[in-house]
Amino acid sequence: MTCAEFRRCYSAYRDEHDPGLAAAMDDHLEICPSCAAFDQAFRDGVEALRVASVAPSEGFGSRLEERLTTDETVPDPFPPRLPPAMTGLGAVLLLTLIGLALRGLFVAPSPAAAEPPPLVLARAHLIPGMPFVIFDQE
Amino acid sequence: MAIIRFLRGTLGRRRVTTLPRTQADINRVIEAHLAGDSHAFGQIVERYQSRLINFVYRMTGDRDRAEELVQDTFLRVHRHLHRFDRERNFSTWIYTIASNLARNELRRRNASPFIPTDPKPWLSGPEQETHEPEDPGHRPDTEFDREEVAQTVRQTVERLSRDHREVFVLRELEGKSYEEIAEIVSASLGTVKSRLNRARHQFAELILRRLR
Repeated sequence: MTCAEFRRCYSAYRDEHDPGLAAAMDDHLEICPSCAAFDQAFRDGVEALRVASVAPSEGFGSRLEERLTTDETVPDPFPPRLPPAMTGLGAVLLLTLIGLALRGLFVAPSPAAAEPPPLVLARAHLIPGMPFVIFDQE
Repeated sequence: MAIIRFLRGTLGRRRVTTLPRTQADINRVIEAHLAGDSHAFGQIVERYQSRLINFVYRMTGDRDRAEELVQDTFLRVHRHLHRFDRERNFSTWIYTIASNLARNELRRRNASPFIPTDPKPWLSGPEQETHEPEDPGHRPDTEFDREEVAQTVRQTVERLSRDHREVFVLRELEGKSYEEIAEIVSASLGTVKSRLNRARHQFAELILRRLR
């Protein structure tokens, strides 16, 4: 086992789920001071954290008691849930909107709808004498 | 009011009680609480208060705030216990509530630069008062070293990102399974494994660097 392999498998080694892997990792630790230092630092660090755990302060129980007595409201850590009927209605509306959007994208317009209306052009008539031009519709 | 009577009795006098250990024990305690047993909720508090305070303390780095958030957790549990699905794991449920409150706290703190933070968060609270005499020179070397190491590792955990710190603490210090962690942090198993792998490597590298 190489040092790179050791580091790659270290998390699985910590979980101790694979005895075969554990044996190979232990063998590597015996011959590699660098990985042994890495492993020892990790273990010492976790152990130091465990030892440094704290106990509830003296007033913890009385404060909790007081808050329970007054039934103090606390912020909801979970997002509010909609009733199932509202959720269903929302889902139907969303699907309808998606359907309409997709229809607009993929359904080609009918030939009649696609054909532009006939262009109506006016014909000019010159009227002798006066400098006016009138337009007739065909 | 039954819960209040019990808290007065149990938490005030520190009476020795048999705490619920298994999920079946917890379910029995919940049933007793819902049936009006005045001792039941206090057993839940006794069972989880220390571990939750440590979990939230390690997440937030502020001991006083951690205690408040754990109290918020118990208030929520007390209010919603009747809705708890007893097919689920109670421990996972209560940790999920505590974790969400800790995350909200961190989010709020990041959003507001004016919220003061404890300059030495890892040494605040009664622990500091009892373990740190006025003249550190009078303290035995071993105790001084132990405290220095404790402070170093706590600061190291604080340097992990929020997501990495959370899975690291839940796995290494709380002993939660991957499945429980995935439920608590609302992430997939793969994400939890990946975060934990990175958190463990980062933690070991940081510790190595600091202790050299």
